[in-house]
Amino acid sequence: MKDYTPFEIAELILAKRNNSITGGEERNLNEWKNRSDRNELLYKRLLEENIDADAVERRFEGYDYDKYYKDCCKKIDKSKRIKSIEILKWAALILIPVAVLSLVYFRDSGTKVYQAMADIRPGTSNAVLILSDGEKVTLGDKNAGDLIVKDNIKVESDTLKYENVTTEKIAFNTIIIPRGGEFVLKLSDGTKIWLNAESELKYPVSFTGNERKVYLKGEGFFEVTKNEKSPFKVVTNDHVISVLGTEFSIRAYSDEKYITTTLESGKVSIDAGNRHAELHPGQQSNVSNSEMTVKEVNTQLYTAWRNNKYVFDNQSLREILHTLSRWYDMEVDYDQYNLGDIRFTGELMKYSNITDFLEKLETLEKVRFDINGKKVRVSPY
Amino acid sequence: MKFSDVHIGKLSKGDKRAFLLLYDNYFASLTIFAQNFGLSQYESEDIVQETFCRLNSNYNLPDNLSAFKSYLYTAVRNKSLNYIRDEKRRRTNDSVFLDLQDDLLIFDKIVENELYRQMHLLVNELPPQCRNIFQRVLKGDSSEKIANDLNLSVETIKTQRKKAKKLLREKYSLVYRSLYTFL
Repeated sequence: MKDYTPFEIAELILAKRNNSITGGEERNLNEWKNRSDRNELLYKRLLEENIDADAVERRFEGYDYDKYYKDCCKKIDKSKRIKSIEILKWAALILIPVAVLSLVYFRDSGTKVYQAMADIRPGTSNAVLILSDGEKVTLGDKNAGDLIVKDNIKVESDTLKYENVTTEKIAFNTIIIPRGGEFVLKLSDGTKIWLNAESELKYPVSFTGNERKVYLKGEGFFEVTKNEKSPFKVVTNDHVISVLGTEFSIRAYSDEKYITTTLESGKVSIDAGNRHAELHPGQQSNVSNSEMTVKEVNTQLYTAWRNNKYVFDNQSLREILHTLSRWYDMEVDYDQYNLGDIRFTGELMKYSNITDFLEKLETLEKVRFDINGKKVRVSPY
Repeated sequence: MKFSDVHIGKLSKGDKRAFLLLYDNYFASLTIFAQNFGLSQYESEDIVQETFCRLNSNYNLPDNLSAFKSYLYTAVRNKSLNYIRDEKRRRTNDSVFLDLQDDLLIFDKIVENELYRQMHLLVNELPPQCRNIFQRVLKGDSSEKIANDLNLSVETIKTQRKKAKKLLREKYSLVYRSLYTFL
């Protein structure tokens, strides 16, 4: 016995009503009708009861798809724009890892699809180097190949290196990382420093004497070469971090309340005003004015940016977007201040498109983002 | 014009003409279908809208019309089910709703829905002026009133009514049986 779909039965009944049914079709319809009382009932209702043109018209009265069709067209246009951007992006950035992002909001998740256009791009390797004589050199991936800045100072891919530099008097260089930039620095003692967007480091071209002192504004991850005779010191305002050999991250942005030091391995000591603390691996200090607190943390959250990721754990939208705004060089404003207090957990590959990230946030149906140039507006979902 | 097999693939590519036909042929019908589950017209429209918008860039659509229709009805049914479950809401209309799990009942509803849908399409296939006049005749307007409203002569209305009658008799036969009492 053939299984009929409801569409086939509807066609057969329609043909019957139209008197255009063929002999074979009619036999099929009758056979189906006689299979069950239920089928017969439906057959009678649809065929023998008089469904007239008036009834048809009345059924469809008050249904207007116009508005919905137009909304759908807008969505199609948006997705077409995004597709063309995607293609360009893929062509241009074939070597850049694919963006992966997963976000989990505690309470619920929705399904709405959102698409947006953006002028907002992830940062790139770029910086300005100020030499001791005041000369400015622009460093960045535009230089493509390697660059010899001066004697023993050279740039290899994303790293500025000082090798075998000896100077008689102390000469300072300063590297400035703009918003939307990052750079790696390898100092004459072998210490490696990853500098994040909107940061600045002043350091001697070569270290002399019994300490190695550098001056940081912003955020950096330090991998300090061990030298017990000459401790390495990072100075931020009146906050001094002394280390022998270790890996740690410092975040000291002038527009943020705390100077945060997170220790991955080794040992550091921190002096801030009259406060003093020693950190062990996995610990973090937060200093605000003369207050200092030390706590155990998941260091991943604070150092992941060095490994091409941003990780957020139950952080407010305000903190998350503030951090990202440095890297993506974007501005954020809020329709309602308290939207910034909503907390999210998740991670983002730092070379991925910001819209991917914002779309993921939107699927949680708490906030909506509108992007206009480099501005992101946050409004209630 | 009818939405047909050839338009399905065009939906995936975001072809607006294909979407227009889809909305024209199916939007109201599927909205009415979703209301069988006890949703309001507004809620049903949202569910159908979401289903339709997702067709753009969906490259896994069936390529024949029957399977595609089946896909649409199933998607609307599932979305309605999810909506009711997620919202844990009372149905807008408690007295008229289908047991979402009762496949036989849903089979009947789809047959009925499809029949009405096809019949409605037939009306829409009338030439525009013919259809306009026909719809007014259905409302019970006299030729004089229609002529006045449309700023046409009574003679024109009468000619159009004859034309509609002829077309419907030739083309649509018994579908509009009762129409002959009007025309």
